[in-house]
Amino acid sequence: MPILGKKRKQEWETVWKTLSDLKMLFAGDQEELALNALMQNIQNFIREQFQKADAGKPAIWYNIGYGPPLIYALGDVNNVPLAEMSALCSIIGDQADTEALIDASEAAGYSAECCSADKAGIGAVVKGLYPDPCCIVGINTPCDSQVAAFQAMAELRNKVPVFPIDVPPYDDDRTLKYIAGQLAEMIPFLEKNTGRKMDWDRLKEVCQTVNRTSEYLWQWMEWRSLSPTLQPSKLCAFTMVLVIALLGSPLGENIARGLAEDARKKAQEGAKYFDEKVRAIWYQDPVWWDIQLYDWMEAELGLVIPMDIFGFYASEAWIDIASKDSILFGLARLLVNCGPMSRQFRGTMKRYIGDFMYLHQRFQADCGIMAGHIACKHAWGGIGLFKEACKKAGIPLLIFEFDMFDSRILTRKELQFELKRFTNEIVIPQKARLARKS
Amino acid sequence: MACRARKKLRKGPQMSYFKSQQELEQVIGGFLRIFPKMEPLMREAIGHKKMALKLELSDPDLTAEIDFTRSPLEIRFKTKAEGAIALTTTADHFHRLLLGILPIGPGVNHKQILIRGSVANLMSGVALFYLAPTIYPFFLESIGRKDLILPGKRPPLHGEKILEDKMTKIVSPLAFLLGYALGLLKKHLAKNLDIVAALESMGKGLISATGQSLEESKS
Repeated sequence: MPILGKKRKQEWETVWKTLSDLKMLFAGDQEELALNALMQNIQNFIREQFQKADAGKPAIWYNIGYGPPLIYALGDVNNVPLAEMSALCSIIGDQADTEALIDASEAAGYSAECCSADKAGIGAVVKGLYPDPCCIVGINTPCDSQVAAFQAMAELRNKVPVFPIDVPPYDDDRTLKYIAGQLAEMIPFLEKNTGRKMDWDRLKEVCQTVNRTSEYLWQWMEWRSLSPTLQPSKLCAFTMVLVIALLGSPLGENIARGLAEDARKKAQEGAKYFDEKVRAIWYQDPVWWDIQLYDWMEAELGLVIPMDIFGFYASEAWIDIASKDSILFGLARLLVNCGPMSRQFRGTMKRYIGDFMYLHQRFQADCGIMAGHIACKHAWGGIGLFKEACKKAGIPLLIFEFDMFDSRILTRKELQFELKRFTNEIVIPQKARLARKS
Repeated sequence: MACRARKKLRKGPQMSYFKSQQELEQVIGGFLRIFPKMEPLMREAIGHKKMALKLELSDPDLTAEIDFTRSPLEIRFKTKAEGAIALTTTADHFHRLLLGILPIGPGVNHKQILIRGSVANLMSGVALFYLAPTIYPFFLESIGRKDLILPGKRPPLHGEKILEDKMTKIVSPLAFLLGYALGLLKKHLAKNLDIVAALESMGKGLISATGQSLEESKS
């Protein structure tokens, strides 16, 4: 299916057609505000990307841990997250395309041990799916795979200038000032390579959009914390997509508003489509290669995910727009303390475990599910401490190994078996025992 | 045979439309068996994708696979094959889906229908269920089961299709007129007109005009 009247690469055309079909399918259900907002605004984002690329506007590539607010402030610049095609092909395209991109990256000699999000992204670069960049921003969060992905982007476009951002594994004021300093240094770099001047008034507007988006996401979390949670579990992780690709744009704000309004409406109307039996905090990575699995969990097991680590949006996201310094400090804090890529995956195990305990309590959960993406070695490194903390708190914890973008590592059947066994044989009996005691 | 997932899907408040497995196999199974007759139209609907769609129905149980990887397309029953994509639901919901009373979007959102597989393939596969409500009532009539055609207004099965292509904008109203004329003919002149045979002929016409054999369309 052509995009903007032009033939494009097969992977893009598949995503575009599927997105159009999905929109048409769910438009039959106007109650689904969140799904419709997601699909509409993601499609608008892709449309804008192609419009900018067709018009020869400069493009900036960046890897997972970074976000686009500073890029939006430059005006008509194309922001291209490296993992964009990894996510799009899996969530709203053909999973076979994601796996073909992963294979293309490995066949081109990039490390098989890297994260599949990056491997598929590198595969997309190898296959020429992204517009050529005028410069590249690389960040070292959350993991070594990001450093490798940054190196791969730089190597694949070796004449393109690169800007590295170093995030230490801390979250104190000294760290935030250090990162704010790097962002300040990055502005002239971006200006030089894009040929656009940083417009501080526009940056203020972008930050106000970020603040409004943050408010919607906090409201969304509040509605989802109610039991039973009536908004589908599968929507939980989409905050991450928003933060990486759309934060600071009206499209991102529309998605956050859609998520919040949908959660509020569902909670107030109370329409139940299944019996909620168990509430779990999904920690680590979502099953991007099979979003429908969450529907199965709800219908078959009564297992609901009120919040996961990708959906959790911490309260440190507010940006004070009073001065240039406060803006940069706010953006640095957003980068370090808000999303999982820096906050939990880069930070200390104390914070990783502390956030889990907080989510467990706030979202009235019965258990935890540590969906161990094989490349998230930082999480695997602290698994002993996490298990011990859960044991001490009496929280049942399921741990399994899988790959969030590659269905060949752990199959759907194996995953279903683990989830079914854990829910029916461990959590439900424990809940019953606790209920009898009380 | 039915897995627990299917047993737990929400059932509607009404009494079951199918009293036995035999009746279900006669009606739904019979309907699936006419698919090969309409193969060209079916392949057009799914965008000529090579894939197998697994159906898992419960209360009563029926499993079937519509295999578009084979030419001519094959319908297999009681199969344990996984299928590239799958649709799991109760027999009643499926019946309502085929009649166009339960649109697939809300059916999925309300957990009445579970789907599995690549989203791109699923979106191609669901197009079969946009086509089904125009054929299924005629099929029921042809097997003497008019009693299963439920009364009531049919909700829109999907949102407005974006007709980007100029030719599609012209052809769509023409196709509607053709269908309308066929309907008038059946209502006023030939009450026993076989709609499935008409669609079969339409499919043959499609192949003859495009010069595209099924083998070619597959590749």
